[in-house]
Amino acid sequence: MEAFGFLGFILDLLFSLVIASIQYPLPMSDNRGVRYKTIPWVTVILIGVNSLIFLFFTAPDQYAFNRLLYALDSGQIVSEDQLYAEVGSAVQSVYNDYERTMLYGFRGLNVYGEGQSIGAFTTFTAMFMHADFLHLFFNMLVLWAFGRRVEDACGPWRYLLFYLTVGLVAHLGSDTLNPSKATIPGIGASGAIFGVMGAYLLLFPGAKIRSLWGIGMVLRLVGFVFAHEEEREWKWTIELPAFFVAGAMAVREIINSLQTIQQSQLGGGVNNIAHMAGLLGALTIFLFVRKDLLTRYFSGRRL
Amino acid sequence: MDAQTLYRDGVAALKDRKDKEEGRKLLMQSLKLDPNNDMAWLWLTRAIDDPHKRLQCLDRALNINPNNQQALELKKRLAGPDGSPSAPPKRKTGTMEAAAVMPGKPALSSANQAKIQSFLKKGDDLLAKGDAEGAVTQWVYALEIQPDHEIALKNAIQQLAKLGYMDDVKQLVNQAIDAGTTAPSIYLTAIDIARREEQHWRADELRDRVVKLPTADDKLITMIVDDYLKVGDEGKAQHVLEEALEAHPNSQKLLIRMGDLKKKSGWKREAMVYYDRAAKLGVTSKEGREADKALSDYAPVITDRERGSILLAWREAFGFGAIYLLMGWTDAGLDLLNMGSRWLGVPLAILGGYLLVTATSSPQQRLLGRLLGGKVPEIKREVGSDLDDGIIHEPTHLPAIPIPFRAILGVVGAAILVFAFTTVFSGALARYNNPIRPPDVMSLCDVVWILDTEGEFGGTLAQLMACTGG
Repeated sequence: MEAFGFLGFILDLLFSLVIASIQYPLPMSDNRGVRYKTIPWVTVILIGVNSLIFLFFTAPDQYAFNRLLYALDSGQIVSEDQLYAEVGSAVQSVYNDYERTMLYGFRGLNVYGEGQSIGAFTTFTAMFMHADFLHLFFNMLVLWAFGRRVEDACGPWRYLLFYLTVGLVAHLGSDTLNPSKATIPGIGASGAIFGVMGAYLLLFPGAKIRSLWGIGMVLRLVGFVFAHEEEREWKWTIELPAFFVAGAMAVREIINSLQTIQQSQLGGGVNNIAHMAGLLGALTIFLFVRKDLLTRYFSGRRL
Repeated sequence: MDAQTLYRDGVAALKDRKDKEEGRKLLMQSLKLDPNNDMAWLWLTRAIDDPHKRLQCLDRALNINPNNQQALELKKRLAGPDGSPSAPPKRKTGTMEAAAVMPGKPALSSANQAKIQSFLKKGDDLLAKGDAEGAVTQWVYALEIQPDHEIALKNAIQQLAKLGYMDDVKQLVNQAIDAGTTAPSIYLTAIDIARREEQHWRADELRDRVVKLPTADDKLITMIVDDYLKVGDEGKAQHVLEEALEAHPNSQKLLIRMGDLKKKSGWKREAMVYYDRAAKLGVTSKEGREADKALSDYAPVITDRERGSILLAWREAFGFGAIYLLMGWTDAGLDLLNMGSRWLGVPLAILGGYLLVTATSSPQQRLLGRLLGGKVPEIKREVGSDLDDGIIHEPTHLPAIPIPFRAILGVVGAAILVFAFTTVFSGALARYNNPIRPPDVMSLCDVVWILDTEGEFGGTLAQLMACTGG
């Protein structure tokens, strides 16, 4: 029975992917290899750390009510005492999730004055927390697609510094440009990841990203059906210019964040301003890229 | 094409199309065939930017025709009040040097030039009458005055070869070479003769000499390289290119050709160094773009320009400064005016970052390496082995800071960074040691009472979770 639950979860995930990929291209990977090192250690470690933190800290509490509902549906609960125990456990889990977000999510306002639990350290802890699995999944997917080549361009240590810098810029930008939202804790690596994406666009503007794209697949299917037999070649992914993939996301974030600033929204949800701030923070990449790459960049040569 | 046609085309290129490079090329070709055309020397001044060389061209024109008024006026203008030319303009890279213009021999007197013309004319007349041997005699007289006169030599060689006097052909060609000719065509003839006589060492020697001539163009050099490659002699082909590159270090075509040869021989990393040199000369030309494209699939090349740059090292240090500034600003509650002593952490971070960067990735900065008594490190050039960071290291001439100093700089830099961190993040560190729960964070019981009152649990949940009050 538990296996069915897990299967259901996987199917749910795939369905979400399909729906998401219809709307906009999902970046999967870069179409060119790296030039300096073959293993992007820091990108892999960042994905690993984010995933482990979610798996061991967030996920058990996140899916507490799912477990409760499953226990109710499967007839495991046979007494009232058992029911209240299960409900209490679920409430405890939900509370843990809430408390963790409030204590370790980033809240800029009065960080020092009234204090957040661990003060400005939350700017770093918030970068490694995610609201739910899809939040984690899409962030890590974008990091995998764009981050490896940026890491290759910087070297592992400088890339890590850059990642933390743009994450900081994203948080600061969000709270500076929308102070009304500053008391609501922000979590997620999205700001840093938008920064990585922005750096990729700056450094490799002509690159292509292998993407999963619903509309593209439909067009490709039409082409496949009508092509000559010898020319037929089916691929699930499509190579799109990086500017198209990332640029579309960036434009959406900029528009949404400008609307947010204008309307001074108080609610939670997606922090588009942090994403836009992260994108702007990408300009700091020139402080972190390798020396020879920088000289090639400014002499108009390929990177 | 004959000298006159080349001369006319060269003038048209300069006058009508304003194409200096094409005009220079055509006029030089014309002058190789007929060096006594004073107007060609005069027009050539318009295709050259270097004032010294322009004056030399004018001198040649005036030696041929001392009454050339235009040359006289131009010389007065160029020479200036003290007789020296004005400062030379910047040269365009990736092209053959303008020094290729000038054969390095003194000009003939006008009397001798007149004699040569006379012998040439007599030779042409005798040949027209069918007296080949008589014609050759006249041309040989001309060659006695100027052993490397191209027209006389070409005509004489042609007729002697037809008549079967190959020894005489060889003698005339060798005389021209010994006289210091810089005409590549004469060398090519000599190479051809040496090859036919199977004097391969002589042919190789001549090839080495011709590729170093300032008048040798890329096409000629690559033709010689191709000759070697046709017979499968890659070693000699590379040797010829190396010689040529000594004389023409800024020729992108030759650099790319060398890169191609090295790549074909399996010396991929050396090939990339040549492509990199070609690309560094500029990527706006076709050859530059070709070189840059060839590099894009391989590891980049790091050179002394990057290794020695103090600016690039400081750039990385400012990266540390940026992140520490952002941390301090965050720690100050997003209030720059409230940063107080945190400001100290920012310049400390820059300093510490610079020391750490110097110790780790920039130990060959120009001034420091020498000051601290470093030695120039040897760069291994192993074909086929992968270097640790995948970068091709071009040989270096910069001394590196000795390892003990680097260790000290690294430790001091790291210590400064740690201290700077405690300065910019002072509030967070204090909070970490003594965490305060934000007042707006609800307790578990607050949540439970909300659920009990708003939900359907009727106080049971609160009782279960031992929450009292409401």
